[in-house]
Amino acid sequence: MKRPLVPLFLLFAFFCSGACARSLVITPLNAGITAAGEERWEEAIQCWKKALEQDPGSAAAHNNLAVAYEKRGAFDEAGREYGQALRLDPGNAMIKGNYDSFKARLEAGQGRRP
Amino acid sequence: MRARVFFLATLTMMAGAACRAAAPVFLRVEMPGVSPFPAGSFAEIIVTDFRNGTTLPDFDAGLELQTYLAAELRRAFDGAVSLRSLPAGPGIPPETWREAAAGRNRAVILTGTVRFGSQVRKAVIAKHVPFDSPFDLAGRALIEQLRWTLLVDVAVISGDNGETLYRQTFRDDRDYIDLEKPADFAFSDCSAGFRERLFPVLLGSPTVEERTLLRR
Repeated sequence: MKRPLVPLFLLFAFFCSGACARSLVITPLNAGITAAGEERWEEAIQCWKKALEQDPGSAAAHNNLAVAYEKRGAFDEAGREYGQALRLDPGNAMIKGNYDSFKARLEAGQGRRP
Repeated sequence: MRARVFFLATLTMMAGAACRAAAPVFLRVEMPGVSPFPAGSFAEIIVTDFRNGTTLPDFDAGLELQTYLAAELRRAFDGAVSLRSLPAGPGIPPETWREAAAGRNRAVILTGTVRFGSQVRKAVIAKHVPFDSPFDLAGRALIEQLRWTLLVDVAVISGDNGETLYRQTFRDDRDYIDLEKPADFAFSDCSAGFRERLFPVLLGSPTVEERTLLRR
């Protein structure tokens, strides 16, 4: 009874590991996240810039870079990177959430024209 | 057989760990304040009584806001904080502000309009009832909440030339299950929310923000 399930389970496990295997590798993207988690934001920026050199179409790298620029107080650069991330992955709710929060802060800070 | 089970379990655990490593990372980051005022650009803040746009019995939101902001600013701001009773709202000539700040060094005037009110909000929600219950066949119930709203149109005016340096509208909503929630309790909650957003702008202080970092 259990026998036919074993190859099926094996196949499932194989596909799961195959699909997710890339994330186990230490990529510049992951190295940047580790650095950011330890408050080493300048190092994180370098990692994510390197990630973009390897894959200019990475919305994740643009998003992360935007967060780092926001942390640095470079709001123009942050806005540009968020825009780029959203152009590459318009349906990503997490990028959109980050961008909306960023925009709300910026608008509150700048005020409206008197 | 046992070895095969062990192998499969290990493989599954590895796949699970790998997938979890791809999950986004939620961070709480201290971000620098976004302020239109360079550090040290003013040495004194004059807080006026805000024009009250609503009439609540026994509660003057304009005066309450002035008192609250002045007390909180004295805690957070290194310079002087003073109170003045001045006209607020649009159309005040710059001379009025200049006169109010006459003889003071690098003063700004914090003024504006406040509206504070409440409304009862109703909603129909699905209610979890046992299948064999003879009651509430529709499985729905009406809930009511009291929503208090604080709307502040705030302006920061230069005491030197009477020009408006900054203007923004802030809104804070609070919902209460207690329909009898008194105005002063709700005002205390709403004004704290307002202060949390105004002070980083006014004083350039950092705020803790939530952001998501992506792995793929």
